[in-house]
Amino acid sequence: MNTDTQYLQEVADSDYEHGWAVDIVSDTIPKGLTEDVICLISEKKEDPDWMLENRLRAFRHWQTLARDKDKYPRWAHLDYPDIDFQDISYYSAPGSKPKYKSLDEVDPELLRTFENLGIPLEEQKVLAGVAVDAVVDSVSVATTFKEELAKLGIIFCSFTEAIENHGDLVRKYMGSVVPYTDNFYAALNAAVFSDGSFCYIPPRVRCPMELSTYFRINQAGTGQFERTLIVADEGSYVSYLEGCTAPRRDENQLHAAVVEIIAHRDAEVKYSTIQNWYPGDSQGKGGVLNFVTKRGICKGAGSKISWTQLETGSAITWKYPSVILQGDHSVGEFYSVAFTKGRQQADTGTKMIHIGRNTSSTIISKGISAGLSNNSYRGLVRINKKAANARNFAQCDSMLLGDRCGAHTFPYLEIHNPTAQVEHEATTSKVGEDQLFYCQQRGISEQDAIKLLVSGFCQEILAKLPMEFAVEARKLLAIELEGSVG
Amino acid sequence: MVNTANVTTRPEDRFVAEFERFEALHTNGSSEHFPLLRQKALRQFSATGFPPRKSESWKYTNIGSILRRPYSAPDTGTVRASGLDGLGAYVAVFVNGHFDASQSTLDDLPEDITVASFTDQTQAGRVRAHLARYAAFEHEPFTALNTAFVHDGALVHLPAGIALSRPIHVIHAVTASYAALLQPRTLVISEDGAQAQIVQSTEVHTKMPVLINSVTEIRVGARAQLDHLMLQAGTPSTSNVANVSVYQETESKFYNGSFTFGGEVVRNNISILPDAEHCETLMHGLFVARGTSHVDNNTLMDHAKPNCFSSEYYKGILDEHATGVFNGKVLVRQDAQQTNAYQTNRSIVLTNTAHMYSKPALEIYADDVKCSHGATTGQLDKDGLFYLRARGIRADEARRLMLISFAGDIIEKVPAASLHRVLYREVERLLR
Amino acid sequence: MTPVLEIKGLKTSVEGMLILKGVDLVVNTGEVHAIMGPNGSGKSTLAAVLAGREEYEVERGTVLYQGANLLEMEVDERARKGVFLAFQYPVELPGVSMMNFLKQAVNALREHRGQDPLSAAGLLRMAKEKAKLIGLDPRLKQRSVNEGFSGGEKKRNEIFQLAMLEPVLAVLDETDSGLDIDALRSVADGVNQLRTTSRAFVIITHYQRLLNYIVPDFVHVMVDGRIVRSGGKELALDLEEKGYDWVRYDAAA
Repeated sequence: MNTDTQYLQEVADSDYEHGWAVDIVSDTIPKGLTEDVICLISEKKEDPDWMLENRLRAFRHWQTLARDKDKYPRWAHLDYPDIDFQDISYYSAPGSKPKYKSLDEVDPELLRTFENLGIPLEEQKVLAGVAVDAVVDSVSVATTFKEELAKLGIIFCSFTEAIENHGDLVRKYMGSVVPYTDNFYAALNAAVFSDGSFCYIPPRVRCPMELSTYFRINQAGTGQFERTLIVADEGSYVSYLEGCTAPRRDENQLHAAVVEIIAHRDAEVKYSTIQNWYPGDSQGKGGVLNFVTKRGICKGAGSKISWTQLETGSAITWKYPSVILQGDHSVGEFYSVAFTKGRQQADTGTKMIHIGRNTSSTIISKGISAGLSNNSYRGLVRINKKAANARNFAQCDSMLLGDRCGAHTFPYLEIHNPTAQVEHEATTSKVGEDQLFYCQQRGISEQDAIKLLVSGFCQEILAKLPMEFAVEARKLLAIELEGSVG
Repeated sequence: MVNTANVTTRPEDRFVAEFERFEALHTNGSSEHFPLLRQKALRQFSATGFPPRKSESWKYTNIGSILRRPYSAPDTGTVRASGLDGLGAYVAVFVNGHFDASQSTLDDLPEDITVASFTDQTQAGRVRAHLARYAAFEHEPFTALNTAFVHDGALVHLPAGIALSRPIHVIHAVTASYAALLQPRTLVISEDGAQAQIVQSTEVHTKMPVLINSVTEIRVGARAQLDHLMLQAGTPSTSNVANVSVYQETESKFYNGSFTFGGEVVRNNISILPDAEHCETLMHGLFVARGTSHVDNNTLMDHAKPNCFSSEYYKGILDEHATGVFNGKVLVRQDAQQTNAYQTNRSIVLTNTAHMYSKPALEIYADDVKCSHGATTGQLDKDGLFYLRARGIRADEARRLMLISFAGDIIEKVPAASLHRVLYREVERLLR
Repeated sequence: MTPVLEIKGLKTSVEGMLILKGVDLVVNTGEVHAIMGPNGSGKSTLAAVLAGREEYEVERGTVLYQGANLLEMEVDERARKGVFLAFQYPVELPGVSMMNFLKQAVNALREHRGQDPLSAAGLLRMAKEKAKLIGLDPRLKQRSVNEGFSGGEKKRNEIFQLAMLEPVLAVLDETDSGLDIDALRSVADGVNQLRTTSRAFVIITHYQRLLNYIVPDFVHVMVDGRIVRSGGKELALDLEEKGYDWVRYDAAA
């Protein structure tokens, strides 16, 4: 068992102090989205007026987009029926009605995965959406960390708390990187977001630990329209972890999160994600539709933002963590492994927008497709007119396991400055016959050899994840491969 | 009949009106020229309309302002085609869309080879059998527009097993005292095992705005080997939409070379479909653009069957305020196992005001394939420049030499050696 | 006693072309056999067929390994039963760490033998020991399999794996090619360390020089898909002196 799960087990075994903080009596808002619903959400969140105004502005904009189905974003290489946005409930409070009465009702495939990941039984129930009597109390864990962080002046709290206690910071930065006008789902999120995380690192502070939302897995209901805002002030550093290896079952099918990162002069933010939302059953039914807008801005000179992701879940993944390289000498990085199987569809990649001088960006993307899945890399590199001496290198490799899946690469290179150096390379192939033979000659079975080689294919990216996360990621990938090889 | 003086909001309407005017002129006596096909194409065109501004494949090219001009399909005209010096080809000349036998030099063609006008009654059956079979217009409004206007065109027919030593050169020249719409149509049918080189070029002998919307259909027979070259060198007010559709049969080899040297807005839609096993395809292109020229190469390599090889290689030089676009897709369909496909785009942006958009895409549905692509955009190699200068060569001359050798990479790979000099000449002229 | 390897009348083709045209060979445990021959004589084909390369079609003949039909076994099954091929061109496995690779290979073997998997510490200890024996740079164990290794390092890595997997029959396919004299000697030293009475070697080589360091019990000369002459270690020296034409004429006669 690895460190994280061990830790959780310890927490689970320890004395139970607080359960769910279920004190909201009526938690369900009827389906549909109107101004009244926005007001209701705002009321439940106890928003200040400015936040309600923000929500309404975003909602009105979203309405202009949603009115006309021609304006739905359709450019991605994804195939799914139009979402009926009036058939969704936009607010579910913590502890709302569980979906299942016992684990027996849960997809056995999902349970097998839990088993393999070594997730404690009680936690499995939470993740699968089963009614539980006692739950892991990770809130208290987070609180302990928070005290330690507070000594350094680091703010790490829920978005709701941030609005209440650090309104000025939230007002200043929220929407400054991903405005509500950015895209369809960003508008939707800005209107209805329920909660999320806020993080502020003061000047010249190096955050001593990986900030993780892992410990908040039981704060259900925040996942659907989550909002994350990270501000790294001058010369600071933070490594932020999002997600969790456990395939999380959620009754909310539509997810539209927004993540914004601001890196000031010489600041560095490393953002790591493991995304393993429920991908649906073997027919692709019931899987999460994941439409995420993630973007960071290297605002100050010498700043750096690095995205690393392992995407294995969701029925639909639509996600392009991006960096705006505004400060001179700023650096943007994107490292990604996307694994799809069954009927999953992923259209993911990045945008690197070079504005400042001497900026550089690196993109390394590995896509693995199995089963009937489709896996697309889509990435934009734009070198603006004034971005002298910009450098970009992109490498996108795809691997196909089986002859009924698809692997696609759609790079967009837009160059407006003669001093730019932009390189893009991509390859697509299956597992090498010679490599397979070599492994088999050493006594390793074909299935194990394929797993070994595919893990090797991703190694370069997984090695970029923080240590414990990387261990989890490898394990997760091995499990995902288990079901799709041979 | 629509009054052309009416200000219409949709540019499509203007083209439809022009069709009606043109049709009225041409139906006297020659109505047997594929009237059904043309009517169908027109209906398709007016229903679909031009591609919307935001469509993915027109993302980087705004042709709207070009299309809003009032063009007329030209009447017969007289002009001396300049041709391409030193090519040593059999030449077929079309002026304002009409075959000009007096300028063509086809007499010494081997007699079983046909290079003829669509109006040649002896070839009517052949034209009817193949026309619009390879260039489907259902989803291609420009092809539909061209098809609606088809009266004359060039037919090249290569019988089985022949090997032609000199290229066939089809020239479309245009001259007019008004904004002209020229819609050349070319049909190349090679039977099994034939070997030949076809060169197509357009000549604009007017300072008036010209929109050339050409369609070329090529069928490469089994084991045939065909080289196809396309040269575009327009005036700054010439716009060019060139649609090339190629259909390859088993074990055939096809080379496509697209060379664009300027023009106001140029859009090449080249689509190659090897629809049988063991085909080889080379898809090469070179574009040199300056002034405010906008050159967009939109290519599709459509692998539908197993065991084929393709290699795409496009290079561009963008100077002054020019814009270049490379929008290339390699599609490997589910059946196309054992495909080897490569795609490369290299561009040089020379000024602060030039732009390059590169979108090399791979879309792959078969697992046992080797596909790769690469794109680079940058400036001239500084070490190379320094080396030349260290040998005493002036900076501007060194730069020119480097650019010519950058372009030469594509030129040297042109199978018709007699074309190398012609192409170098064009590049050198533009880089002066 | 059953021979380790018994090849009878083996004919194989690749893409319709007959390469092995009737090979007979018997290898007993503890013996070291060298197979020499000019380029294109079929030596490496023989190695590939023994390891189970699919592109080689067996047209005729039998290959018995420890009395069982080797040709019916899967590639990995052969390996687990003790057939080891040291590749002429070992492939690189990007991202696959040496230790992870060895763990899988060693434990697949142990499982086959009914042994418990080796613990990480046990494996590490074993790898350290064997690396020392073979003279493999211990830092290479931290890397991906063969990735970025020099030619000599790759060959040494093959012998290191041989040591780790303790095969019954080791086939060395031109292990000497591309090695300078120092590397050659150290690879040969490694092999000599691994010579035991319970292990047989088939060493395929073009040149005699490897046999200065690994002294074979038997030498076979292969020309045009057949073994045309067999003898003791002196045969290699005769070949060195007279060249392959000597046996070629002989074969034709």
